[in-house]
Amino acid sequence: MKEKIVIIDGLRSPISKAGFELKNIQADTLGAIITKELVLRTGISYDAFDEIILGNVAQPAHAANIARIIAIKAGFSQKTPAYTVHRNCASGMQAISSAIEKIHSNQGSLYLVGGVESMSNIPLLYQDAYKDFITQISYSKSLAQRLKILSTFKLSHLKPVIALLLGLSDPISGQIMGLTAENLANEFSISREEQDEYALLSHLKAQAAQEKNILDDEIHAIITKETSFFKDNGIRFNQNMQALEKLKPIFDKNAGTVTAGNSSQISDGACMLILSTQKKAKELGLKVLGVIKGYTYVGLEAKRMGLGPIYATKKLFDKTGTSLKDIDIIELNEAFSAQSLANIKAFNSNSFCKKTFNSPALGEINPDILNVNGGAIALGHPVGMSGARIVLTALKQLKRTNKKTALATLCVGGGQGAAFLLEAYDE
Amino acid sequence: MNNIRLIIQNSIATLEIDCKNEKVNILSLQVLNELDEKLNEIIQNKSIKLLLIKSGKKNTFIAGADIKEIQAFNNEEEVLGLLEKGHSIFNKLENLVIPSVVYINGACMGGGLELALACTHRVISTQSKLAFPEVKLGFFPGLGGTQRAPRVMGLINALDLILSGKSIDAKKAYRIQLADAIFDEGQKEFKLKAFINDVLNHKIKKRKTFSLLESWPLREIVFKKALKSLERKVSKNFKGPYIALDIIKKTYQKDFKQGLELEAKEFSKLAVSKEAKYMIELFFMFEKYNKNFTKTKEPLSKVSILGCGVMGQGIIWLFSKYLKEVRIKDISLDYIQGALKKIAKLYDFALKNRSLSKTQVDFNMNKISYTKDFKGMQDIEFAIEVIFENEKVKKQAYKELEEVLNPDAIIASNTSSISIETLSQNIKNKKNFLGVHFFNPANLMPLVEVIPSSHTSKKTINRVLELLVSCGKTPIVVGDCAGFVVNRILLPYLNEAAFILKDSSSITQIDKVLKDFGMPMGPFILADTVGIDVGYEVSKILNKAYGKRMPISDILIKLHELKLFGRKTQEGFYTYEGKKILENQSIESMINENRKDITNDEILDRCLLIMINEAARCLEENIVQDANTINFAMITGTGFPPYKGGLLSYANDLGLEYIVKTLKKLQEEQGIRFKPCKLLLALEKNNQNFNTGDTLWKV
Repeated sequence: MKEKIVIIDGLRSPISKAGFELKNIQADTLGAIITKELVLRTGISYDAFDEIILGNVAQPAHAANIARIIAIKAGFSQKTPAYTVHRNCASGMQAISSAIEKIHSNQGSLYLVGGVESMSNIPLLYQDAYKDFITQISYSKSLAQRLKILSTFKLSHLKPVIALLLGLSDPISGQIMGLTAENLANEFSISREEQDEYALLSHLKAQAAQEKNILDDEIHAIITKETSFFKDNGIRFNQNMQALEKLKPIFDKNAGTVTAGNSSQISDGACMLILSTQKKAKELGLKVLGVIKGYTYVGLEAKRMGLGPIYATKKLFDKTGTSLKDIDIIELNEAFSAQSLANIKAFNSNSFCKKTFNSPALGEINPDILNVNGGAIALGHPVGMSGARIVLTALKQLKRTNKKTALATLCVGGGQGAAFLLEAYDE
Repeated sequence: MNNIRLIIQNSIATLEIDCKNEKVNILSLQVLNELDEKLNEIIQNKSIKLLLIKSGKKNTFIAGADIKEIQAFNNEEEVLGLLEKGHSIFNKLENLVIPSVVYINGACMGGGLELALACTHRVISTQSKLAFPEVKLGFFPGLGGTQRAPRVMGLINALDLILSGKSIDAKKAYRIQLADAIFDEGQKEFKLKAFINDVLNHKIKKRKTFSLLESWPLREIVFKKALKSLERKVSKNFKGPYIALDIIKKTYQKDFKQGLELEAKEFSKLAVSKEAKYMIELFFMFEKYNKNFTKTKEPLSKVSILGCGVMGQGIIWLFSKYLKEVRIKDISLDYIQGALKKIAKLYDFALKNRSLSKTQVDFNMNKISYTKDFKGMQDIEFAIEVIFENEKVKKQAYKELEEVLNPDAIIASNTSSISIETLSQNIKNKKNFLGVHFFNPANLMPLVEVIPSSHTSKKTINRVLELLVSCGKTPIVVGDCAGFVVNRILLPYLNEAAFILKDSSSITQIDKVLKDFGMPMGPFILADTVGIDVGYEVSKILNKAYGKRMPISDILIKLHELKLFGRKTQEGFYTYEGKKILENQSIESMINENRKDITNDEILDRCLLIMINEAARCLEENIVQDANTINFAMITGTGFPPYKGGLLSYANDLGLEYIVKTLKKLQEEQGIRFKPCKLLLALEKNNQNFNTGDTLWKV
């Protein structure tokens, strides 16, 4: 029998819109603060951990293998190994499943996993032409040669390349992520109004949760000399349809429906979890937050990457013998309203499911159990962090509401999907 | 004997210095004599082509001269004789017909560096640290350093090194041409051999040190600048560096022999002076208190600080620099951020003076975690409470701490006035509770008072002493009483200054008298700096505990009433406007109109004797173990002039007869607070002094 995989506890930073409260905090510092706090709160000795595995998409140039930097900064000894994983928006989940695979192959039994992203600090790049220019100068031997090369300088050399935009574009389909959302809006005939309503709901749910301090048990304030940051700042309080309607489509400016208002936000944040086995948790006398019952990753056409959740969930249900009826809580990452709505429609569409999986529809998603405390549209989507965040928030929500089973699923740029089946822990 | 080995191989003589029964090499008289003998042997052996000097110790070359020997000198002639002998030995080394190479493989201090400077070539390993630390002990280099250093590394570099006492690393040493080659210890086999071959083949050229600034008349500017910078950093009462500067100025680029003679003459004068003895004594006191514990297998390294005020901030910085885990707790996240900002600033200083790298600072800052409640404290081994002086609030904090901490964990209070016995009343693990009193600013002040209650275990005291020493502090263990030692002695002094002001003299006058005496600042500017509010609160507590003996001066009460707290409110005894500091005119309304005359000596007597009397009481009540502890506490805690040996050594020098007589007189004039205590009377009656220990030099 395979070991029962459990999450001991988890913690995340508040999520900040890129360019705001966390803009001066590098991803490694952000990750280290949350990691240290989580380890201290659980009271587990640093040396008990087998490895640190973290997801991160825009791996910062100054912190190659950021997991290792975070581990040492957080207080782990240099004897503890660490590595970084990358599966785009599912990087935080990849960290979890990598650790599970390690446990199942008897490599260890206690892992610090999670995801971190500072999209504020994704650099601006120089163009290739300018790079060549600089290289040539440094290789030039004589003054005459140098002057000759200097004379080729053009002002246009200084126009930066925005790495963030490159990262959010899919080299397989050649489309920026927003356009893949337009593809789905088209395929499933999702109106602009529907999308805006969905976005509004995300803000309202997140606002209510923040006002009732529901998420306090998963958030640790980020306080450094530069900032003092307590609460997710992406939520637009008292958001309304009028405000959303005013926004112009940003990806397809003429024919499009996807706006900044009905897309997820570009953000900064970190989320960490402690992953172990039931046996090890008992051995260490630790309280357990929840159980990971299974997970799947799938691939699909890059242009329809937003449908990743239904593809992954279908595979997960088949693998674990679960059905939508068993699920009490769903975290479906809101990359875009259009993308989320496409999944909701696909879940309940016999024709889609017949055509795609040769099976009946998975069923209607109960809106009351979906992203109950708001999703990435309101909270933000720090890409490397989100996978870990929805697992944490789903597990915490199970506990808060005393429910049993949760699904956490997200779409992945480049045409993939990921889904995790989670359960409350029962002694 | 046999501290130096001479090996002759392939026409190369190697002198390996390896002091017997010592961890490091010390340049004692014995070692110098041996060096002399070996040099004679080498001179006689005509087959030798080169001399190599190296250390037999790992990671140290020579740690300096033997301070105990210097302390024992009490005859100027004798010292002069010894110095001449030392000079002749180093001259012998320098004047060898064969080249000499010294390999410096680590700490190379004082006399060790002077030895190295007498060699033809210096080769250093990258881990070397070099310094002339003599000025820190009140001296200056006396074995030719003032002469050879400027010749080898140039005037500016030599002045910098000799006058500051700071140590430089190998890279800097190479840069300033102190060394002719530099390499990693692991490369020694190859590179040292190659260097020696190069010397034998005349391939090594002397590096030039000439700088335009060192030529006349520009050099005058160099000397002027050096003096100015010295005056800014060091009081004139510390004579060592001033004499060194003077010698170098008089002898630079002049006759070498006469230069050595002047150096020896000045050094021997200084070496037998009382000031120098006291400075050495202070050095040994530091050594003593820094070793006053037994090392444990698992030193405390995970700590928590409750309270992020000014004092807390200094302690957090200190702990984050030296320990592993630092968890701070405050009720307000704003205070926490304020503390982090301040700590980052303190680290900025370390970055500026390059004592820490950016990476180190980054990692140190990352050791600090924070909480509003008592979460995440399970692993904390030592928690110190730095909350404002309120017994009830403090006790509540201990209660909550005990609920989350491991029962082995130690809880400490940084109270400056509340009795530790009282604070420990409701503590469950009383043996793990004690007072740990830092001085402000905690990041700078070396002294910490450790105050056990009657229940505190020896083990706890030991672990805390170990912790403090590992953080670069020098702790003393003192008894539980109001004000402990330093505040109990210092506050009557501050109040006395205000009593004097009431009837006579002036703020500036009184401050000047005590500053001239050697205190780092006068009592009024000190009160303004510490804060009148703090001074008043402590005075109140002392007054409550000691009654009529420690009245609070009216002026202090009045200033406190008017909320003129000193520097923090820009107004106290002085007014502060930017850099402008003026006597506060509103004090005039608080003083008596009929001014009496008072001499400077009377001011000194009143301010100092009231402290001496209280210090004697601390001894009488066994609050401290010995008079030296008081000397040390007052020097390191209040800046009492170290070259006067501390409060009670000063009392001995003043004479107990005079002290008792004057106290009695002052008691009549000023009242009960000057009544000499029993111990003072008894000592005086038996013609005794305060026992400041068996020092070697006292006759």
